[in-house]
Amino acid sequence: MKVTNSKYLDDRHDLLRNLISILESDFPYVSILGTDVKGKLFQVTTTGISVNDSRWSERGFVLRVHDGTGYFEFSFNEIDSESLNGIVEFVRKKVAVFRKAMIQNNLEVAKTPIPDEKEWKLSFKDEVKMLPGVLSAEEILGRLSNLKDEAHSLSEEVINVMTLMENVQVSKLFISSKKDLFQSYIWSQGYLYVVARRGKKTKYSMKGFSGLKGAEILDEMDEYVDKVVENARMLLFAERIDPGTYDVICSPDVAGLIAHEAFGHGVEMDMFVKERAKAIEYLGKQVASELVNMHDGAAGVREVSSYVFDDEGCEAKDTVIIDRGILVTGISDVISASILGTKPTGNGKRQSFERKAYARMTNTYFSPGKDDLQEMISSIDYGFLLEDYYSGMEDPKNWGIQCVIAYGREIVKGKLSGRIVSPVMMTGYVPTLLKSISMVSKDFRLSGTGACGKGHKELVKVSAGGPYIKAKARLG
Amino acid sequence: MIEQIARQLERVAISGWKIKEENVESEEYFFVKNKVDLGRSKKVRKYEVTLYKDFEDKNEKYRGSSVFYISPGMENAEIIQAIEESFFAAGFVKNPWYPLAPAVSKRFYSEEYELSELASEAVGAVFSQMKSINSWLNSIEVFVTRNRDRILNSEGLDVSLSKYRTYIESIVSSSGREEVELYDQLLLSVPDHDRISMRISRLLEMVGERANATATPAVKGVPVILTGEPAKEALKYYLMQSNAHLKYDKISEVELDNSVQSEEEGDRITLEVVPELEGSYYSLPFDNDGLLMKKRKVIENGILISYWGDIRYSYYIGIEPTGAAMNFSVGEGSLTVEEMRKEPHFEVTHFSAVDVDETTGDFGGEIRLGWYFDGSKRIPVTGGSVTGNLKSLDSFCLSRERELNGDYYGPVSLMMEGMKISGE
Repeated sequence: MKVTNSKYLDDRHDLLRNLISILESDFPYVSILGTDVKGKLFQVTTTGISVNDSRWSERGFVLRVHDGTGYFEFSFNEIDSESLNGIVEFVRKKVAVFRKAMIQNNLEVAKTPIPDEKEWKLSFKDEVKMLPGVLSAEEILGRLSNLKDEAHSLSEEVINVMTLMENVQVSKLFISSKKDLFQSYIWSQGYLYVVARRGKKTKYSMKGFSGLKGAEILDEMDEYVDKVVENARMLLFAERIDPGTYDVICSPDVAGLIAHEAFGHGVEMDMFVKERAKAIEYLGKQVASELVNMHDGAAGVREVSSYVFDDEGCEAKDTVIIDRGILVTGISDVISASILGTKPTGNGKRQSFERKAYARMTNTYFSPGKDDLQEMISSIDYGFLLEDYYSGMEDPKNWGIQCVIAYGREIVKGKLSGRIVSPVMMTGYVPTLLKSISMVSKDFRLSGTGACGKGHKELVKVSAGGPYIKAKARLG
Repeated sequence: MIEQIARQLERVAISGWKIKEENVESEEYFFVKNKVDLGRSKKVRKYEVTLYKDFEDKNEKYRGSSVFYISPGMENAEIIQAIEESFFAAGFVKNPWYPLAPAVSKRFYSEEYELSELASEAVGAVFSQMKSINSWLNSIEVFVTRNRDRILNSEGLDVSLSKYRTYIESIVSSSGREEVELYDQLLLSVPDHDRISMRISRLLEMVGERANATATPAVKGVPVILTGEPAKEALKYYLMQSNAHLKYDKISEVELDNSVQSEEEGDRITLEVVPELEGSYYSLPFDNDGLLMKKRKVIENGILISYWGDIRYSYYIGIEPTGAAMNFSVGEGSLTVEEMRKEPHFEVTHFSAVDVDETTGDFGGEIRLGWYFDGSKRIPVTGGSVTGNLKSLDSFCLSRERELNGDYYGPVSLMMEGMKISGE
């Protein structure tokens, strides 16, 4: 089913084009991004139900001007024919005030080249199997409630369950003197979350579902309830790991976390501009085992961060970051690319029209290899199969890793022993970890639940994943 | 527009409503070293509407609700459609009944400032500290925001506020054994020149320490001291154990008059939720329901004496609501920081991220900057991790010195035994 257009953006298209024309008499470059993002979040827990607009909902505009030296932006969400001149005056005044503040503080404005855009007109509407409005709130809540009840029926140790589905329609309009772009697509995500308790010990397990999908994502959730309950109860037996360096196999989720946190953030090229990325010293050099190929791109695969153009009006790409262990390139927004003299890679993303665009990941993953998971387990004398994760944090400057992994299954003499350790903190130095990769499975799985921050803010949707990988890692 | 939305809501047979109007203006500066990369300004108005629908089932009262957003310029037909869809959906939201915030009419307006002048002051304060030789500001983001919020509900509530907020994200670098960096977020109400420059100065010193740090050794059996942000994050675990929502959801297991701590030796926690902390980014006179916030001591000498929470979950567990508090304070401990550092220990001020799980009590983080003291010398270290569980500590000590840090006023340092240190 075809995703619908945005009347809100359609109705304002000519007004925005007019605003650009007026401002072009003052500024050599002017562009506007318009956003109309709407969605619903349905959630059922053991103790309550909610149906709310998605927190990703937003409607507004961000105007970007270049005054010949550098960029200035203005985010707003009110525009009509009467307020047009007020916006023009506000932007003129603010650019002057902003420049004056720099002089007062003896600070400089970075000189940034004016963007050289090519003519591009586009109108894109994606398709999903089932548009979100096809199912009523009653039907959706009924199905989520059934999943919650099923989880409780499986064990009295289950003390709380959360089931959730969120559908979000993203419509974006980008206009500049040479570009006139529109896209509309839908992403959805779902969660099954189970908390189990035995005595004083409490543990939880979670399974996420995501994709450029509509309400059909509910169908995928049905078959996983027993698995999530089983995992939560299994973790009640878990022990803490003895800190040390071990042979490990990372599941596609954990491999994706490593691709994203350990390496992806470090090749966001605004970090190159700030000299915050160790990666810049390693371009063209070996950073990983020859078995490793890594991509990022909104165009390469279909997941929650797949789109046709980014928030700066650049075409989505599929960027090869690591090719057979060699670091090839990073991913970039427009400003960083213009300072570095490279081409933008379609990775300029904003949390919303209210925020700045940064170089951000889209769908980041290791490519599949040729190995078989069972053979990978058999090849380990002592180690752990690491599955699911809670969180991760980047360290682009020093290539440190912080991955909080939900649990590890102990491997003894090529077999899973049944012993579980949880949680597991993976730390270390990125190239050491990536160079230690000795087997890569044929599997391939991406996951795009949750959100990614830059530092501790600027949340955007991304996905990450890959195959199972065998490596050596420091665990604690 | 708020009256237009209220009028449309009154036309539907709903049991109640709440409208929150937010007006946000900001000035934002993004620096790479001492050059501004981008300037931004923001002027945004938005509305969050909650619609309530009461119903009964088997003699039990229920209150369904649904939240939706309205943006300026939305046509009347679209507003009516959003109301109707939410009204329909709320009928299937079968939650036990709870009250709305009672009728109050109050304005909380702060002194007015010119936003661009505040932003310029904040920028000036950041760059007043560039004297260190081997350490420097790598990149800085400054956001100064003015929020004007108003909340109305169908009970007759009408409260509003104006509030200034300052957010400074700093990345500082230093060269020593290798070039390293540290990350910091400073959150204030209006810019405070002294606090900003002192924080930046301290940060430049710390990153210099990291530049000369060696790899964290694999040490066992020494206490871990958390200082600054990590101490605050660990203590937030106890704040959440006294939260009405977590109690209702059975995530918090602590009962009134029982200890929030385990059997560990050492200091007992005294903790209060406080609506107003001087200079706090988070201080607010009312919460998202419009309920006027109250101060409350919830933990005294390690014993849970009360819960805190918003109006809904407080009603569910049968307590007076405090409002959804944003600030908390913790009483002083028995040792000075110097006394804590006398014996061999492992101290951490910066993790990549502090991971504290409010459900399980698990604690962990990769070390960006720490110090190992073996009894004779104190060396800066980096890498490796500290992990453990706050429910199974062997000892717990709080420092006598306290500090204001964002939403927290409490001990600067927290010393614990029972954590594992992973290193080389």
